[in-house]
Amino acid sequence: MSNEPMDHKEFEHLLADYASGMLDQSGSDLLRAHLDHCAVCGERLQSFRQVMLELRAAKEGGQGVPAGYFENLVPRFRASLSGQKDRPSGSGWFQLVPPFAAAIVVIGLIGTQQFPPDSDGLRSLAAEMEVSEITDAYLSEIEQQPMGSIGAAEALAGSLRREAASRQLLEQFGESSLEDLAPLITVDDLGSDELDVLLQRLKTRTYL
Amino acid sequence: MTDLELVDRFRNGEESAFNELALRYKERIYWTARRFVNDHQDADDIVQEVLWKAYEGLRNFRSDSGVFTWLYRIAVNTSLNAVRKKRVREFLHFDELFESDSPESERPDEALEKEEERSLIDQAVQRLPEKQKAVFVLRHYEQLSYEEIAAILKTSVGGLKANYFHAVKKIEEYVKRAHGS
Repeated sequence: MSNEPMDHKEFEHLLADYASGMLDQSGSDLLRAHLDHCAVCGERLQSFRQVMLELRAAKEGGQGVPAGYFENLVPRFRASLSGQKDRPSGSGWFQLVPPFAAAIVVIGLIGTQQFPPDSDGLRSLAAEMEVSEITDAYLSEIEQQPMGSIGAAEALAGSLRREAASRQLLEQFGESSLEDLAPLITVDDLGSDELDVLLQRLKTRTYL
Repeated sequence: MTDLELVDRFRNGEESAFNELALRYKERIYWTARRFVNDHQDADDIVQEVLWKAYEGLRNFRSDSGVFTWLYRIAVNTSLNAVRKKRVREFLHFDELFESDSPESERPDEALEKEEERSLIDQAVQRLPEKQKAVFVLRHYEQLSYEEIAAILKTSVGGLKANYFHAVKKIEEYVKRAHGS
């Protein structure tokens, strides 16, 4: 605790720790003195204490783990390591596109106006397009359409499947560092069954 | 043996040193992930991914942050990414769509997990904004100090108390709303 006088908000921020018994002695002393004359904090403390009781009950009642899970966890990892299989997806850098781009992608898919006859058609169309063509189409649609809806599903799917296109997109978004960017659910991420369902839904415009 | 000694041994080719580190932190990693996703299967996927990332990254590990902090950071980031992916999947209703074919429906602990999902508190925690959720999980469940949380999230201690306060406040408000009061 600093020696500066604390304002109401600072005291308020101590309430959660106090209610859960994690506030240190000096903080507790200061807060108790504040509680003597602050009804607002007093009321909040009562509510927080109730929440903490419920949190504790939720923590204790359930959250089951299958028998033997922890014992097998590391051996399972070792097995997948030696077999180089069962590796979780998500290590490709091209998945490192910002979350807002993910939202745009999803909204874009949902907002698609023209649908190919089937997913194979979409895939082959995407495969035929040039990287720059895909990227340009994608970016111009984002600029022109509210909520980033994309005019051509094939442009989107193609861009997401190609590392070079994704990199270009990333540069266009002005991201200088990949470090803190979250992985994107790409069309590839969704898996073929899921992609088929998505395309089916797009055709029927379930989400429009 | 300290964590850093294990890291050194691993770097020198002793594979079993990684096992020792994994054994040391497996439960903490699991429970951190589990608080984020509230589902055993999802948490297990996250743990396996965290172990992969740790295994691959350990040779380049810089000892300016502790192994513990580094692993927590990987666990938190991987969990947040999993939550984002799950959100998109839920938005597209994929889980619902494939539910009947999913092996998850055959899991023996399904009933228990469904019960958990129904828990109001769990729902409230799941709905917290990312930063608040991360701070809440690390503070409330993992009982870490604000200094440790700041190191994990690569942020300053200053705003963390406010994050924790607002997280608890949001949980409180969610529960109150659900009770109609």
